[in-house]
Amino acid sequence: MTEKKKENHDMKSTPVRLLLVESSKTVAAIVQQTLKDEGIIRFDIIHADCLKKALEHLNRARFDIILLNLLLPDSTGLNTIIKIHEQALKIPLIVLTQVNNAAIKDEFIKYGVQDYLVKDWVDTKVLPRSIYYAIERKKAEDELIKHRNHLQELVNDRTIKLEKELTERKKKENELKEMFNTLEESLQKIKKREKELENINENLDSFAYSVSHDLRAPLRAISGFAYILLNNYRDKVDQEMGHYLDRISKGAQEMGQLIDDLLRFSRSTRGEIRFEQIDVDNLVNDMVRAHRDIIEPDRDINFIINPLGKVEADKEMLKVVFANLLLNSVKYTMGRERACIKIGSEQKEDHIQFYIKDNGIGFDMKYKDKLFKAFQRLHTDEKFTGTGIGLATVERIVSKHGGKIWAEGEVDKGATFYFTLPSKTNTED
Amino acid sequence: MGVVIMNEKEVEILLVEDNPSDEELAIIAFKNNNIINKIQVARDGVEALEYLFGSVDSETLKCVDPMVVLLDLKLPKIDGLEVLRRIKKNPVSKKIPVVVLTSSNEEKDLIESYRLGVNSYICKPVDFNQFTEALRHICLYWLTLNKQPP
Repeated sequence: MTEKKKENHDMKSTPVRLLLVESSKTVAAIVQQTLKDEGIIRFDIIHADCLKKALEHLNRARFDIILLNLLLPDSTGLNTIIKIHEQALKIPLIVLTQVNNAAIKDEFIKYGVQDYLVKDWVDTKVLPRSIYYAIERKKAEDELIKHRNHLQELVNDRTIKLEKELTERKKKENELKEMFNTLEESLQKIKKREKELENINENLDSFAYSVSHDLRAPLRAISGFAYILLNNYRDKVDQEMGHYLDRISKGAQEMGQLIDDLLRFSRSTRGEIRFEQIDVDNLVNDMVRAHRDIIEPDRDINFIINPLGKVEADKEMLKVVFANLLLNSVKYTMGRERACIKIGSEQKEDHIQFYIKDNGIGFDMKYKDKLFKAFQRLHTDEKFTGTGIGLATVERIVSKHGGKIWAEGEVDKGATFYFTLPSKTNTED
Repeated sequence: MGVVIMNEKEVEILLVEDNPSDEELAIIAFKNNNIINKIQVARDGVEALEYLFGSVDSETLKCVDPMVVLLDLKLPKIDGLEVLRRIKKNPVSKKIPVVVLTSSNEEKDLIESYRLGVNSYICKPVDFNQFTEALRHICLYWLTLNKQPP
């Protein structure tokens, strides 16, 4: 009993408000008496003898518990429970009945009935305890619901947050997709452009082919027939006519040279670079020897060749570079009493620098930028023949290899041409 | 239309050339070099094949046996490389020496010509003197020095 006293301390200090719904006045009186006699819990009991009155009471005041006899003059069975619940869902409900039936009991529980008392409900011990447990259970249930709701809220909050994050992420994903699409589009454009360039290059190739083939034929005709007139009709051609025919023939030959140079120039930029290790000493020495022994054996040129080392470059292209620069020096030292051409190299940090120095007629530094432009010539044709494409070709090859070219000179005091090639190829292939 | 065919047995040089100036220059160059061999001119690839095989589609060589074929590459209708291919494909015509005589010094033409079995490849010089010299060398070599199987 002492334990119970402690537990019920709350209930003792504040009376438990009880709504007794019971049609029989006698029964009601017994219940009231029983609860009053109980002594541990104080009850504040309101009696209603029909559903209508019970509902009115529920509407007016707050109750801690309802004791309900299902047999009422204005309602019976489950209907009573439903009606009461509609009005007071939160108040624990104890049903008083004479019927002991498991199926009905289950049905009641389903409808939220806290307890179910049969026959001996008037037992002085059972009733108050039953009431007490009903209240406690209801409290626990409410508490549970509260917790569940709180939990639900938390879950909802989290869900909302997650949904927000998801939306955010989807947005970002879409942005990324869009960026990707833009990138893809750009890539397609680049690919298309590449294809176009390829076509242009192919066109250029066939153009160059046509030029090389078709332009030469009429030149051969001009040069050839002029020559035939000059030689096969010697007795009919006077000196002046001969001079002009000679001019025609020479003009055609120059044009032929120009075509060859132009083709070489256009090829120098279009072809793929085929990198290989080149012994530059060998390459230049062979070239100089060939020139000295075969091409111009009459000229006495002092070639000084310093160590040149090895480079990674396209051999055919590098040959064009050295051949052009050497022939330039050879050409512009013509008439020098003692022509001297010096070739050498210098290893720099990330590149190798070559130079070709001569004591020829030189040039005015004012025009140094014109040197490497196609068809730009600094010297008149009569003195020095040339098409003005050689140095432009050299410049293109050098820059294609990732190097630089420049020249220093002074009128009548010779010229020095410098060019660099990267030590290590940084080209992709 | 059609080829003006000389006494076929006597033909020693088949010149396949579409450019009339080049043809005339070649004839003059032959004359200047005192080359009096019989020359047959075909002005495109079809004429060349018709002369050698009777018709474009024919696989059998007619009974013509030039000592050398001087073949330009850029020709109307059927180009020089195709003519070369047909000549070298046929086991009988295969032995006829073919010299490509062209303005083209394109690497790919050179490579393809040799792949197909050309006997010599000469770039036509623009200068008439050099052109005459080139023809003199060709004729001296293929018509006089070179020995062909019977």
